[in-house]
Amino acid sequence: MGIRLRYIENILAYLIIIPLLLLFLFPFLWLIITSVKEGTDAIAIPPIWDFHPTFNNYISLFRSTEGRSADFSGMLVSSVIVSVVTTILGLITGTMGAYAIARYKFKGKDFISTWTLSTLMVPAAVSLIPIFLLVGSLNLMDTYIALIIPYVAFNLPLIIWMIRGFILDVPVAIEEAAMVDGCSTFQILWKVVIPLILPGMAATSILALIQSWNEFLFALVLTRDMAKTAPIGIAEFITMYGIQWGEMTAASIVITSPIIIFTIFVRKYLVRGLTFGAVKG
Amino acid sequence: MATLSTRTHDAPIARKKKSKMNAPAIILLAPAVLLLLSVTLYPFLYLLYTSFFSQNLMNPSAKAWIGFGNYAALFKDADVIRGFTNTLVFAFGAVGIQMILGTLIALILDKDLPGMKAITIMMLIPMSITPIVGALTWKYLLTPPFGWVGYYLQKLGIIDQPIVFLGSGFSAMMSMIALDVWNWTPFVALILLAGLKSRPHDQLEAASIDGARRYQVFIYITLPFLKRFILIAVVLRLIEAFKNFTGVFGLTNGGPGNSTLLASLVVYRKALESFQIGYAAAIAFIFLILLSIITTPLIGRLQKEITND
Repeated sequence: MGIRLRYIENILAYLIIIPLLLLFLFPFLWLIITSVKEGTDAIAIPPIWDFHPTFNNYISLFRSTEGRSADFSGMLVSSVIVSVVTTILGLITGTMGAYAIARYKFKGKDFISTWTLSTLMVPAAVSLIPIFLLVGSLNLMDTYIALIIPYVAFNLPLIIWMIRGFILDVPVAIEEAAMVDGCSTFQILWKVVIPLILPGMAATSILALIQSWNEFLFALVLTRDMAKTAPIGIAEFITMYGIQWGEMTAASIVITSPIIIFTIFVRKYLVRGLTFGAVKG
Repeated sequence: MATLSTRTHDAPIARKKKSKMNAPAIILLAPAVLLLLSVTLYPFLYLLYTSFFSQNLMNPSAKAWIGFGNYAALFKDADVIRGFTNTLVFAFGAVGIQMILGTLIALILDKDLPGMKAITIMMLIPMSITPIVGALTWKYLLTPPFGWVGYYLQKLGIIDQPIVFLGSGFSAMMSMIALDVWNWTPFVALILLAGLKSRPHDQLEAASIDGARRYQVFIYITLPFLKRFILIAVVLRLIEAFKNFTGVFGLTNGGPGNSTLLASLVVYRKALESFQIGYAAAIAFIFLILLSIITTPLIGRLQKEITND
């Protein structure tokens, strides 16, 4: 192929990808810009471009206001508690399950492993009604545990299948050697396997953390006040206090930026994780 | 019977352990299985049971057995029918566009050109944005007079007057699809990019030495090789699109009218806004059955792809 043709093709590649990139980034750029605009500047049309950036929206976001049922920092704390505990519990139960699926042969194994994956198809809205009523009858409405248990379950397909792949990468001879030395199953898992798959477990936990951090429907229905998470707070900027775009966008940036950083941090494992190990990115 | 299931599973050590290996596997799996049962089997049975009753959320104890009454009603309910058909239109529309656009982006990002790595990283941003934030941001951007989309389209001369994107059924559905495309096309592109990067180089070289044209290489080598990755992306995206709740709740809330109502939102509304739990349960149950008919083969295929390497 001619050098000139290749040159034209490369130019074309940039001409397509750069506008596409701008299109994909534009909502995020709008969030950032609006979050540092003052009051009415935020929603002015035509959009104001020569403004003085201010952090007032961020400051007022974290100033607790009398009468608010739960301030935004409280919601952030709830979000952190719920997603961290979810991730820890998910990682413990998921790694155990993954080890059984990766290393053992037992009756019904095929059925169980297919089933753990097929729970993926159950929409949150479908499991919501029974869980809502159960949570109500157990008097657990608006508690962390009411969110954590379902979140762990929702994360399990991802955790089990991702960790399973990492375990399969560990040479089985190492585990056999430990077995000869008289280690029990749990000792092998804890002392031999887990140290070898730590990077994979870290990546898995970040993906689980992101999923719980972002969850909306269960948090919307199962929390009122004390356990309310940050995504619900975002939606409330619109419904309850009128539309406060400055604070709403600032809050959006606050809850989105850690996720973006985490995503970039685990990008090597991102595709592998989100395809349950089907694609080794 | 349980044993270390690898090529070496008939090694002496493993064989000796055979007789008592079932127990650890069961103990290891039990917590995960119990948790998963609590969000799948328990809701499934509960929904099935409740769907035969007329029951109000405000007074759950006063329930009346009505047999298949809820099921008879739901097939005549315009919102329910609309919710199911919209879900199909939305899912196939969004995933179709994601695949085409994702392939184009992956092919460009695969080029050995300066800046492509940085662009790939920046492409991660849409999929990292919390779903409710993405939906509300788009709602703002699409709503005149403040929305930037209408303003700049008008400024560029693409439209003459402000469009209320979320105001008509068709453009609201297009907006829903656009939101999902914006959110997830980069993910599709990343999967396909991983596929492109793992192409065997000797085949490509052999083809170019044999004088194959670029499009021939694409059609006869790249595309067959990408098939597996395309399949994985389609399966994962379709399943997620069928389940969509946050996007539609934030962007259109089903409107205008019921023109963007999705199945999950119908279930939510009947249960938590109209308080008809029995009826919502029947809808949820049918939704689950339809989903499992459509997605069981997809998930089977996905599992084959996961375990086949």
